[in-house]
Parts: sequence; structure tokens; C-alpha cells
Amino acid sequence: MGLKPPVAGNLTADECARLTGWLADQAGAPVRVLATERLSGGAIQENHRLEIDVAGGAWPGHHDLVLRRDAASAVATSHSRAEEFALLKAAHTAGVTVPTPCVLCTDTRILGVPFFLMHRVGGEARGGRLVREAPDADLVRALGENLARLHTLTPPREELSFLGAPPEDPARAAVAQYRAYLDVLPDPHPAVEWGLAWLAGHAPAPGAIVLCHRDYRTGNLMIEAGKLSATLDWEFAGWSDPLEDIGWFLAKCWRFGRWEQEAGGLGPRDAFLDGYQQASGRRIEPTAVTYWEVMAHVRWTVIALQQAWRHVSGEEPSLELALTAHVVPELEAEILAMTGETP
Amino acid sequence: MRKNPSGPALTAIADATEAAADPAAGNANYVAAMIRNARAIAARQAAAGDGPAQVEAASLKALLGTDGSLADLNRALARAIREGTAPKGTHAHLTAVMRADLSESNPRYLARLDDDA
Repeated sequence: MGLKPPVAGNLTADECARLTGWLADQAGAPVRVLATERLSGGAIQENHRLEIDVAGGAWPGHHDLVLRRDAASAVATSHSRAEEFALLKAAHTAGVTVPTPCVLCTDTRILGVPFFLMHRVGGEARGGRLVREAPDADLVRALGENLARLHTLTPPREELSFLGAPPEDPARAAVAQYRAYLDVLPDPHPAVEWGLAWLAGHAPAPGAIVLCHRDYRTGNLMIEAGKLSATLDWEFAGWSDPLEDIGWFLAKCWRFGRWEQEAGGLGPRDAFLDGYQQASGRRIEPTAVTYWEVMAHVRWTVIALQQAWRHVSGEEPSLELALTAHVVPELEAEILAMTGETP
Repeated sequence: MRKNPSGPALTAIADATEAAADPAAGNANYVAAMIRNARAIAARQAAAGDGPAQVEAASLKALLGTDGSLADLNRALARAIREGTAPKGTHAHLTAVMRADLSESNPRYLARLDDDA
């Protein structure tokens, strides 16, 4: 990952001892740590595998878990560990396939930063690998059903109050936000402005507002033996139009090169939409989906330009961030093709 | 207009990354592929030289009926698009500029688009 430091080590012996004591208090029974291992993950969060044995109490038996905490070098992120834990619990309650969340610790005396434990889940999430498998209509149907279950969560919800007030008009709010993001960048981007002008001119009337994942796509979905095993990366979750998630998932930029399989490169579009419609009872209009696919490309373009600027400005020199700038012409190609000659 | 970092700046971060790279790291293949990609983009930009920028500036001047630096002309076009006063021919202009950028950043993507068309 560019010039970022190498992966840091395992939990220290002291951390392990404090963690064991804390877990025993929570469980009301002796706890033995059988194994810990640093897992690969982002630069912002650390994931550790944690295998424990609990001798009775509230959680008797053997548990294969993941401990998730902020990395020592983490900067302020969109959602704290406590917030991510609340999102996972809400999603789990709604029947979304996620790693079962277990327990949250906000006492920073234990590991220095808040952390939570969740069940460890197996599978493959890397898009480049998944699109080499045979197209799978059943899988993408299940991904549609899974998303529909998430979208049963509606505001207000006390435990998700950190998400803020739901937007009254998600499409127009997004256009205003992305324009504001562009205004901070020094270079002009007329093709992105073209996309935004089209989005402003074609904005739908506001509809239902639900809990959206806002990064629901191939790459963030763990698949094991052709079945969804976990919905990952809840960093961007928020209240929005359910079509934002649908458009993001179907957008061509998330097909990992297998363009003809329009549901994330994994299977046919119709199967995904059928699964979603059957599970939600909500009828999805194709033109409404197209609108949010344009939005998806514009959003990814703006994020890519922000990432490139982190490198160019000197804030975070990184080849990976630098190269993100050169994905932008591909996204502009799709924006210009989808919008046509009148904005 | 080429996206930043371009040309020498792109080569510089590729060189710095190569100098700092650990060949035994788990992501060594991924890092090597990024370095190759950055150098290939910089090489295509060097081969194209100032030609694309000159064509783009001429197209912008004709479109807007004003003069200025490439960045200023693009700023004026971006403002016009946002204000809803984009001149006729804007989409064709943007498409031509995008194709020039894409032929440097990812010519295989451009070829695939043309095959699908």
C-alpha cells in the first residue's frame, strides 16, 4: 500500500492480560485466550483474530472471534467503533448477513482505544477473485434480498442517533455535497460538473428514507462457497434513498471488469432486482435505478479526486492515492455516456 | 486536462515507492503492478507531449469564445455547466477530452468501450 508503514504486530502480552480479565468480568466466568493473530485490514482499523475458551457463565464454550479497534495511527473517521457496533447490531437484528456482533468495550484502560468483538466469518471478498467464478443468479438474488432486509430499518432509531437527521431530499443533498467537495479542490473538473448538472436536472421526488450501507458492492461482500457470509465495511452507512444502495451495487464501475454481469460482475441485474423486490415488496423502476447509477459514478469520481488530492497536496504521499486520479477518465466516460448531450 | 499527479510527478512517486518497497511483503506483487502502471501512464503522456493540451485549449476557446490558460478555460466551462449556461457542443468537447485522457490512463478501457459501441 504505497509508502504506508508495514503491518504492526500482534496484541502485546499486557494487552492480552487486561483483555482476558475484562472478558472474564463480562462473561462472569474464567476466560482462556487460545490464540491471537493480527489480520490484514485497513490502515484505520486493526483486526485481530481472537480464539477464546469460556468456562461457563454467560457465554460458555469455544469462540472464534475478531477484535476490531482503531489503529494507533488512526485519524478521525466517519464512524467510531461504538457507532460501527451499533450499526452491526441494528443490521443483525434486521436479518442482514453480518458477522454477529458480541460485545463492545469503551473503557480505554483495556486496550488504549475502544474495541468490539464479533464472530469470525470465512470467505472471499476480493472482487478481482470473485468475478472469475461462474456468474451466479442465485447469489445475486440473495444479495438483493440481503439489501432489502437492511432497508427495513427506518428513522428515527435511538441507538443510531449519531447518524444525524435523515435528509429530506437525498438526491439534491448529494448533488450539493459533491459540488461543495469539488469546490475545495484546486483543479476544475467540467466532466464531473456535467454529471452533477444532469443529476440536479433529473432529481427524483424524494421518497422513502431507510438505513443505507452506502458502500454495498462487490469487494465489501464476503462470499463463501457461493453464499453470502458477511456484509462488511459499514464506514459510510447513513440515512438515504434505498435506490442509492441499489445504484451503487449495479454501477458499471463496481463490476471488476466483467461488465456483462451487471450485478456487481457476479450475476445478472434482473436476478438482483427480483431478489430485492420480492423481499422488500417495493417495486423498482429501471429509470430510477439509472439515475442512481449516474450518481454512483459521480460519487466515486469525487471520492477518487479527493484521494488523489491527499497525495498531490503532500498530506499523504502514496502511489495508490496518486493512481486513483487516473481511474477518473474511466468514470467520466461512463458519466458522459449515460447522461447524453443535454444536461 | 490531465489529472494530477501526471508525468514527472507520477514517475517520482513510482520511483519513491520502488525504493521503499519490501520485496518480501505480502502485497509486493500489487505494489509492483502499481509501479508499472504509473510508469506506463507517464510514458504515454510523454509520448503525447503537449498535443492533447493544445487541442483541448483550442476547443475550449472556440466553445467559450474567450482566451486564457487551459486551467482558466476549464474553470470557465465548469462554472457555465453548473450555472446551466453550458454552450452547445459541450458534451462533444468533454467526450473528446475524456478520450484523450483515457488513451493515456487506460487505453485498453478505451478500446473496450469502442468494441462495445
